[in-house]
Amino acid sequence: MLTWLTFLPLIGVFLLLAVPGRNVRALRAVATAVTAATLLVGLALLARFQPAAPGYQFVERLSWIPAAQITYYLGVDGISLPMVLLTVLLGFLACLASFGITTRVKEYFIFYLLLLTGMLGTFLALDLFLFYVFWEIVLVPMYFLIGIWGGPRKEYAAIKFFLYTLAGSVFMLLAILALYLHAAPHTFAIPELAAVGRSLPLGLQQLLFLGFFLAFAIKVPVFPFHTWLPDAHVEAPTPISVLLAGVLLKMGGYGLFRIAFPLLPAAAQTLAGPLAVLAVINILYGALVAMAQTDFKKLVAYSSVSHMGFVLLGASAMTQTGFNGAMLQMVSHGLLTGGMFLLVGVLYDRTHTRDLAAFGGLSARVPVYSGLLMVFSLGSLGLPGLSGFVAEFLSLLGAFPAHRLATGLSVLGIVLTAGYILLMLQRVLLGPLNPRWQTLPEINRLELATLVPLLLLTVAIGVWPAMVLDLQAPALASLLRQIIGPLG
Amino acid sequence: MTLLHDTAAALPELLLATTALLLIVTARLWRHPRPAAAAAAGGVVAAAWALLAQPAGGAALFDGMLVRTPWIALLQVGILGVLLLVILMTLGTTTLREDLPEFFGLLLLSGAGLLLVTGAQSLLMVYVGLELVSLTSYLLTGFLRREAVSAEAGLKYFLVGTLATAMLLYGVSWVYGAAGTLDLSALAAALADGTHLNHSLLVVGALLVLAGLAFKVGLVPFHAWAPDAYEGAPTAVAAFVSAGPKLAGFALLVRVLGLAFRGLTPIWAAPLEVVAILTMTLGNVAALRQTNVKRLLAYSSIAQAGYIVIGVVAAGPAGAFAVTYYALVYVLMNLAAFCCVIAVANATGREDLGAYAGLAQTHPVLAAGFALALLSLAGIPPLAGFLAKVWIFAAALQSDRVLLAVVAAVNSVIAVFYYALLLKQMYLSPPPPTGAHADSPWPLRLALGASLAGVVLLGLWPTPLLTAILAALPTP
Repeated sequence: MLTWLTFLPLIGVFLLLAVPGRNVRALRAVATAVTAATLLVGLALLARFQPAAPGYQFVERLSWIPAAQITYYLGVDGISLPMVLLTVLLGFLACLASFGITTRVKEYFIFYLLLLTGMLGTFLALDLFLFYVFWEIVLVPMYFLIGIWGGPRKEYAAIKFFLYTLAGSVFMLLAILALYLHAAPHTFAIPELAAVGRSLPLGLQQLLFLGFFLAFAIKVPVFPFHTWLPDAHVEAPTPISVLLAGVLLKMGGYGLFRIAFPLLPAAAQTLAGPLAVLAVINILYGALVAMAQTDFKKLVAYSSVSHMGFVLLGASAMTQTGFNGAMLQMVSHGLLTGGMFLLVGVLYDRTHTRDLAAFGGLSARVPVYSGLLMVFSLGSLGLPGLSGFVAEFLSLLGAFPAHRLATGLSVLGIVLTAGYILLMLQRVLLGPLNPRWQTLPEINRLELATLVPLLLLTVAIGVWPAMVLDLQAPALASLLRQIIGPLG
Repeated sequence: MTLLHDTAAALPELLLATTALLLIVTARLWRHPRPAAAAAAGGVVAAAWALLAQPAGGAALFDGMLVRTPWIALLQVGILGVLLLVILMTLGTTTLREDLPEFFGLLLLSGAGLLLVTGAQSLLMVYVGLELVSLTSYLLTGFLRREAVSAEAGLKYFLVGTLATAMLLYGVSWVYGAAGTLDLSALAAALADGTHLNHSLLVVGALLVLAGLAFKVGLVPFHAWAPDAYEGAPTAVAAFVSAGPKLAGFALLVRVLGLAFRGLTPIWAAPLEVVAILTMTLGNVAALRQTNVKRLLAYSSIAQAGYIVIGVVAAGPAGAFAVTYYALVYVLMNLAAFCCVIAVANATGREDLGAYAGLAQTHPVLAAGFALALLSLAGIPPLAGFLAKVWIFAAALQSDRVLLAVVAAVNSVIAVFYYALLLKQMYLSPPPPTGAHADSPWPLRLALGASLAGVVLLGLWPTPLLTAILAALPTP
């Protein structure tokens, strides 16, 4: 089942190859059908998943390269399932949002589906070698997707993304190999390596942790490794920004929970303090920079830096509550920022500008759009009743006992967020209507279809967070036991 | 009896040499390129058959001149594969039509030399084989004798190469003076024993031999010939020079350093580590500024050789294993890249970066092929080049050479920059208004398809090659 889920998009790639490039409708139909199918498989997975059962489920394990004990090893648990569901959902919605792509459509969808396989594989792989392969596979289609269909500075943004991410991942590769070589018998399997990692001396654990952390920190992104993000997010076409913010950033956070923490627990515990400091910097710095933006999309991009700081903060807590908050924040941020990028795209398609000063008074002209923007913005701001609030609250609550000062400072971040979000809403929706937009058309049905599911989920999680928490809590509890031992 | 037996055992080399000589002798009577290519390919296939049909023994032939262990046979099969691909690439070059029978003759003669070098058991045989390879390579490089660049490239290659071979021969004489033998196994035994040799003389000899070999595989500081030679030579020859001699050269490095001079490891390992770091870094950094794709690939080959040397430095089974896998895969991906250079030159007559603009739109299949070759060279999974890098990194870590592993890791990021430069030209830049689709001749497409199939399959399903290497490893 997991193999199907992972490689359905790849099958789609081969289908697309058979469709002539000029038949845009057929290309879109194939891509939509394939992403819809992966979404359905993802939902079927959710239906058959048993949250209370310990360990990995739907495990598939085959020997791949026996000479080096490399296995094809997939499995899902409460930590990866929300990520997988987020990926298939955003993968489907962003595919609908891709209908605006009109040049080189065939290549676009080929790279798009390839990207989807890479992302799903990253979340499902339980063999570090396989994980790394999928992790890297994500890079290549993303390079092309930004570089071919991006904005004016697309080439710069694409290569910057590629080099930054690769620079992080080669050190992860060295760390992976070091773990592999320390295992007797050699293995790349994550469950087996957990026993190997914890037995290593603290200094080596910390060194390896840094190797992994560099790769994950660049993906999250953690200050000061964040500079690729504004370029990539701003230059990428709308659906790709959605996937970048919604899924790719989560690969970093997921990596911490799946690999760095359980495999190197002593290092994780000793480095929790610095992690909290970085989290605070992310939250405050991201919010402050977002406040200074005049470009709508850049504002959303920097808000991601700030919001991902809460993931880091929750992770640094080393408590069940903090972990729950961090994981929930990843889901929530995926939904909210995905929605925000879609909304920016909707506006940009109509006005061809993202300059916040150029808007104003849109709420009278396009009420439905304005309503949606309002809800998603307030969700980012952390309004109770929407998913962002629960997630950030849990992160703060979990982190408070361990890092009081850091938590206190992070709360300031919420105030700053309220500042830039309200400022943005004011500049876009309120005030006198700029006469240029007298005839601005309202959001259309297709765009609505991409946004409504995200909206409903945000509200649902905000009102009843247990629907996600119940999925992930048992897995996070066992992760915590792995890190701090049964007594802690 | 022994002579007869040894001659039969040397059948692959003899078949190659005989075909080569026949081609050159009959060249005046028979000028058609296709039959000549068919005859050359036939010679190579026959040699491969003779090689594979032999029982894998490890006995020395011709009074300890040659040996054919399973590991050597494996690399020799690789060399024959290179010859076959280069023959196809030559046929696929639309501008290379003159004097092809002589061309193929020289190529096969060079191939025979490569087989001899790879299987050399005595340093004297190393020298003789290398001379055969070198002289024919110089001629092939300068083959377009009416073009000044080609002639200049051939001359440069010749002058620098002669110096290197002279150094090698000089080193061989020191080694003989110090140990009284040139046999690789006897040298190892003498070093282990340590009583009947002059140690300091041997060190000088060993380092001189190392320098000569470093030239053959293009290691810094003996790399300067490569970019000029690649740029001026017919592209198929550049491909051959970047593949065949390197394969044989690395086989020699493993056997001479890891086998004969194993006792001197503390002496050669440190300088070779420095050489590896310099080679990777200089190759990659210089490649960043190239605008001619052949020069770019030349510097990329230098950097790739630097990665492979890490395996030689790491030594031991893990090192030898990594060298073997990387060298074989490197050959495939580099030949695939050169196939694409030929195809673009066929269509546009140009070799500069600008000629690749918009290739993804005018020649989508070719662009995808080149992209795969480049991504494999860059070490992106799931292609074979990635696995090769993994083995090299693992070998470095396993021998506790963390610095080497880190430098190699940083270098593989730098390298992505210029490989991505080509990707950018092909996929991101718009095609020129005059750009039209032009099909390449079938031999070229076959060569590209075959080498790319290798790159993809060895990445996804490397087990057959891994098993073969592991089975052959105990006797390098």
